[in-house]
Amino acid sequence: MTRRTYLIVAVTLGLMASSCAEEGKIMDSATAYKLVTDWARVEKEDTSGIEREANGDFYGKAAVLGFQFDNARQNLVVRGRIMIDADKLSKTQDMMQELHRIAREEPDRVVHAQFEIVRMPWDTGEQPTLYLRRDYKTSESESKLFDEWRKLREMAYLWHRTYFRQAIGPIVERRSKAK
Amino acid sequence: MFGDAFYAALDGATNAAKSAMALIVTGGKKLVAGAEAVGAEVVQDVKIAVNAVVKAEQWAEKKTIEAAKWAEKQTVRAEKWAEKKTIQAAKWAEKEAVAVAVASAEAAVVAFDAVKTVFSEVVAGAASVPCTVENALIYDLATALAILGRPAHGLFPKKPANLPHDGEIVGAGCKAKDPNSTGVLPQCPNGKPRISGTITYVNGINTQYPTGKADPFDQDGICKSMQLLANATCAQVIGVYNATGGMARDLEQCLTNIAKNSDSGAVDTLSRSMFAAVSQDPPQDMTVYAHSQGGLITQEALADVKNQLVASGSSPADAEARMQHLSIKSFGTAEEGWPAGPNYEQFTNLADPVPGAISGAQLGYPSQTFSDNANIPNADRHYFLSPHYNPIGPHSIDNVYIKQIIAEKGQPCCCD
Repeated sequence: MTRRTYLIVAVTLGLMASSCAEEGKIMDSATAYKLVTDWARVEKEDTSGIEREANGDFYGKAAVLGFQFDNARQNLVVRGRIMIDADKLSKTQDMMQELHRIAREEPDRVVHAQFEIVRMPWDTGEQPTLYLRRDYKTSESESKLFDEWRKLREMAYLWHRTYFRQAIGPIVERRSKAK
Repeated sequence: MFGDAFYAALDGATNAAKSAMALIVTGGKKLVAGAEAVGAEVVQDVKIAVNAVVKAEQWAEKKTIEAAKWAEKQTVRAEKWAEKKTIQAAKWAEKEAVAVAVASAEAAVVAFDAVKTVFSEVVAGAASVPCTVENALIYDLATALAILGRPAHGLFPKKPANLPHDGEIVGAGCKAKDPNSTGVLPQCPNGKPRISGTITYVNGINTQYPTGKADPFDQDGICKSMQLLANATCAQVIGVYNATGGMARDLEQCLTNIAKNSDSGAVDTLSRSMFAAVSQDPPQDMTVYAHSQGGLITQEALADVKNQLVASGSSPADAEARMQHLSIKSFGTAEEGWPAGPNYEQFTNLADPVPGAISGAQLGYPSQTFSDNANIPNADRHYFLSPHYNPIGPHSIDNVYIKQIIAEKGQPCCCD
């Protein structure tokens, strides 16, 4: 190998190492905030919907998705909305059990996200909302993350449009037959 | 001299040319300010071009070879005109960096290319002419508009996350409606209004909400549209305000959010209103009028209502049965993607480029659009042609669609 080839290989390996180190980094507030603002920029939105707090926490919406960073737990939560006013779901166990079963046993149907009923500050009503949620404790490359977030957004929309009823409809029908 | 196939082709060509011209006169000439820039010259050129097409049709009826030759000549002329206007529009767009003008320029090129192709086929005695020319033109316009959403163009300003009054319920006096106030009632200067039902109206893109304006006709916006609707239908009209971020931002949001976003203040408000009506026993009737982006908002709200009903214990079939109490009338918006259940009636101005642009954008998301897609009878799909020189004119709820309601249903007497 010539000296020139050694140099190229060394530089390439150095760049790869640098990139890998960045990707495995613990999710701190500055990193998480930069990811969210870059996401907003790529999706051509501003970040006026993101509220930052003095302790490093932040939350808000950008390009349809909801973001919540918990600095104490170093955890970035990304949420895609499925259904507003979901209180009725939390009152019946069988429906949520079925949704959790799908998330557990058929993760591709939810792009490896989890179902969650929660009321976030940006929700318009008094009741909680049904979301698809993904958690990030370490940072990844932006392109990989943004691709996952786009898939999460699309999947949450599909659940809103049809998948939710396809999953829950049989439970309702079983209930009415049992009566 | 020529066979039926030739004449069919010639008729098809002239029809396609008319459609193309309609797009150029309206959508194609969606040069927004481009029309202003070229001013009276454009208007004159458009008149010449339209007259040329009309002449072409007359000649086609004579079914002579001269008609075909003339058509070819006119096509060349129209093509030159298109090239000239396209260059003007492009220059103007470059200067002003206004996205819609770029779309118009591209649409004009597409339209005239199609005209040229079709006429060439006729002259050559082609046996058939693609009947999808118009759809292709609309699809190309949608594509052109979608292209404008690409970051590389950088023409759209960033969209603000929170828009004031988004999802607010609008009542009489152009104010937020409270439980004690009414919606907008028909105007009866010399008598008492005779109210016939209640309409919930969801506005489209670039609609202002001039809160508190006493005279609804003082300023264009949701309150003026609500008053015109009340006068045209004798109904009390309640508004659900879909806030504007400006024409360019709204248009981008309208197209790029298709199949991604069910999340806005207006969706939530409308969804809750409709769910409150149909979840009662017995379900209550509710009528919604939706214009432009308001149609997409209504689609999302309907999907949400269906989810809510199922989550409340209705089977999907029962949910759809309850939703039959919803009557949805849409204007200048999506023709597909409406969840099954409600009764639908659609009004589409063929000169309005927005429905085609939405359809084009929806085609990119077939599973999202068609997985729950109501079968709307043709009798409930009303198509009409109302071209305007003003590029956004054919899309106007005030000046086109409400007038069409009156034209089709008649003007009822709303006053005692």
